[in-house]
Amino acid sequence: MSTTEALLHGLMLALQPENLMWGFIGCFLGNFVGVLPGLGSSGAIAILLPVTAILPPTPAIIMLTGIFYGSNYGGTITTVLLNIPGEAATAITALDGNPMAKAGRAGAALGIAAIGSFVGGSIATVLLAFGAPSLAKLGLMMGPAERCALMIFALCLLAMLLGRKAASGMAAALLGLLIASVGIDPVMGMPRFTFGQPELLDGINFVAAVMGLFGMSEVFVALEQRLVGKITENVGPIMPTREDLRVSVKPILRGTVIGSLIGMIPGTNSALASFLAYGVETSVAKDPSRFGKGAIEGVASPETANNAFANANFIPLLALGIPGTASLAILMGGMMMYGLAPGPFLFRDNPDIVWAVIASMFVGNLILLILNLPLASMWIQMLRVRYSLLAPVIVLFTLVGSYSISSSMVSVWTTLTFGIIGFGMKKFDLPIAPMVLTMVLGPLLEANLRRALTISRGDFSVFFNHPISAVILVAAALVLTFLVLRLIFARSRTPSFDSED
Amino acid sequence: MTESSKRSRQVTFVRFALAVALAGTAGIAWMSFDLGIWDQSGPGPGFLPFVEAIGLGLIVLAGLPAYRASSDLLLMPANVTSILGQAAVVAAFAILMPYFGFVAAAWGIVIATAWLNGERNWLAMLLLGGGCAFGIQYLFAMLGTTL
Repeated sequence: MSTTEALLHGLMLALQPENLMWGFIGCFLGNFVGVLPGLGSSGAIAILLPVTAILPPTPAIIMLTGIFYGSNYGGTITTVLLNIPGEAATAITALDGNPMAKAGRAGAALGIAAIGSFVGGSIATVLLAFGAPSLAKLGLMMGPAERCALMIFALCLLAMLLGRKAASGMAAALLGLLIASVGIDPVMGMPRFTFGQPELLDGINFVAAVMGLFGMSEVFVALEQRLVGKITENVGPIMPTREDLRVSVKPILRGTVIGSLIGMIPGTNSALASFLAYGVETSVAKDPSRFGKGAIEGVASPETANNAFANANFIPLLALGIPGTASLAILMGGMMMYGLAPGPFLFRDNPDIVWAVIASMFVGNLILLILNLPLASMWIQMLRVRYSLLAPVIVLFTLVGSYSISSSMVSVWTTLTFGIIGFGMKKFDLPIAPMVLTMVLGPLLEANLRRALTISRGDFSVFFNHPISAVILVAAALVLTFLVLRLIFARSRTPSFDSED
Repeated sequence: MTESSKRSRQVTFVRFALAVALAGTAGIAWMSFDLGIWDQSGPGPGFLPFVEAIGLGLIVLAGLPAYRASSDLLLMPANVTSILGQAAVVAAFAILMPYFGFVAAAWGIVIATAWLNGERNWLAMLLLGGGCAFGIQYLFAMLGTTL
């Protein structure tokens, strides 16, 4: 079956009433949670992941992806209207989005962000549909050594992008790997770090842990900061004017290219895409002084890049099993709950699910455009609800979700513990995203590393005897060298793209 | 308390935390070593945790003396009582739910969380708590799952 035929087949599956309904619910819930102040897409997926547990795999994954990009859309509303970005990627939108809101042009900012996100998301999905299968074919040629090398490369890239937080990011990544090693050892079946507790034999529940790291910790942060945002009263018309659209066409296209290209590289993050897109706009603008004061291009380009990134980032996830961001790591954890291991075998073994999910992204982007243009006022009204009444709902949802994963209070305790850990990490300025990524990648990394070394009878040259893994490891070494040199020579000047997404 | 004594307490606290982390990584490295790092067929179950613990320990060790330089970081959280209260409320939910059932525990946690977040409208809190508790239970009953 050709890619176009597979995509059309997927579209037919995605348009089946049940899948369409759950896709819509996912987009709606994602948008709803994304609108909540302080919660980024990682928090939204973490909190809502257990909701999908009642569904068969295809609608469940469609719903999860809907939650993922729905929360991206929702986050923009909070950023523009309240100046509270839920994640680093949308922080750049606040620079021009909030001044636009203060000038009574919040509607135009939200409208252009929705249109840009739709265009960027849709084009990136086309790339995903045509790029991922080819990459997956390459992935099928990879053995344990190559897969292990690829994961090491992704982690090195992540460390590099953490900039001045590289050391703390590496510490967080190592902590995630250690947490992932709790439970039965993947090769020999020996219990590790379980301290005689049978509940720990299956390891630390990933979903319960991320619900704590992203959901519960945000509640603590909000309590500390007494989160109160002053919502802009005069939102203005939601549809951008003809002039707004004319000015935004090129920034949207540039944002699409930047977001899609960066999204295809494993280990990158959305903050890099949106910061770069914003940087490009300021450098090509005739009057850069307008930026930071409410320039619509400053909203259009980073928002487009952010959404294009979000969709393109599915390429390394679906084709190679490498999640680029914490959100996708959680989504990968959700897929694994259904026995679906993202990676090259997914296209071969579960083509119906993969193509239905890819096709559902087109449908989802359309749903979100509808939800965010005509219904924008509904989301804005939601922001007028006092946070003191929203916080209990978030806490209850998090705890019920956590409990429902295993119908056991152990999950609730895990969520609370990781909530405290997450809060502590935020206070110590430790990035959470690398920890979440390694928590999901850890078992795969270990299994592949040990398989490769067992095959070679403990000979590490196996990684250099295979050409693909040798090339990837050399690239990883170059990235690490660059990172170390930068840490030594340019510490104070290094920008940081640390993102909790 | 003066600003400098606050900072000095903060530095002491962070150094203590880092020392605990260092001891923790040493403990993990020891346990990993015990699990078996290497045998004739290759790496054992303790291999990767051992490497990770050593790596983490080295980073912590590097951070221990360096912390003084970055002591301008404001670590001590504001509203500590509310944060501890929230953690206690969640713990109470986990302990009490098996005895009192979901509805009562959920109602309680909603009211307590709203209060900790500054809500003082008791009617709103009661209605929200009841709505959430019964609503979620009904939803789960509809989906065939008991809470």
